[in-house]
Amino acid sequence: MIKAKIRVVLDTSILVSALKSKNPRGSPAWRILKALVAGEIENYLSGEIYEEMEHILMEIAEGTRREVLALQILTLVKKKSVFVRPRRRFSSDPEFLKKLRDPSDAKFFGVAYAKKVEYIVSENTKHIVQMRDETTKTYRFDGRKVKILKAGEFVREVLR
Amino acid sequence: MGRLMASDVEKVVKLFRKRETQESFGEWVVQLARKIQEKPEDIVWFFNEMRRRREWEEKLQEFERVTEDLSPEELFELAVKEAENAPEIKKSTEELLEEARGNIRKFKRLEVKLKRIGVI
Repeated sequence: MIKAKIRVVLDTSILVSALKSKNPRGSPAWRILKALVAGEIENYLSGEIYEEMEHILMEIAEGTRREVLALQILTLVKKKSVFVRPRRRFSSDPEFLKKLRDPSDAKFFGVAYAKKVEYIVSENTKHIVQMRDETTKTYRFDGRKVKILKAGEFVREVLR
Repeated sequence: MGRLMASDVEKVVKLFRKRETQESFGEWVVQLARKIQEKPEDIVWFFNEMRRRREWEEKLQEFERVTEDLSPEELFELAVKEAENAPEIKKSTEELLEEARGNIRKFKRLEVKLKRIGVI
């Protein structure tokens, strides 16, 4: 029987964590990239998410000795992810934005909702990770739920 | 003019050879900044950032083209080696993210204002 891929939304912070890591063989962010390449997980993103990833990695790495690495990470993520156009926009929901605190993170929830993903993986504790219920590590949408895990948690609990 | 502008703006102004062009360009930047209630050095920063973004886009496209024949697994292995040999970044992921997002927010704010007055 073919094992179903784990459906995820990777936040930009996972790419930043991989970009700054000095130990790719022991880094959770790199383990996640490896899972993406190997087809263990299926990552969904929108044009808006990819644009943010491009600009954030440019801000950090352009003109430095990590520039090639940034290009490699972006190319890998683009090659191995599924692009979607979510219809529902959480950025226009005032209640949701009040809890999230940063409107620019709403796009990750929009894709997670549209594709009914199981996990949002993020190192952004100030905005994305704080949305979860700490007991269940889950965030509930209208009738849907998504687990929000940090990179290390995702590796330990899901990829092993 | 010199008292009104920060050194970043003056550096750009000095790129022009003729004194008249230097003065008109500097004046234009100052007027523009006043019109959208921003600093002249931020106007110069914005156009520099636009150039960086365009160049980054080109680099990314070129990189995608030259790595087209590589499998994701091969590209992944190359990236791992690149990461192992790259210099250390001391800042945390959240600090890096916050700084980069600050620049992106600033760029968007200026972009909206400059679009509104028809400059871009």
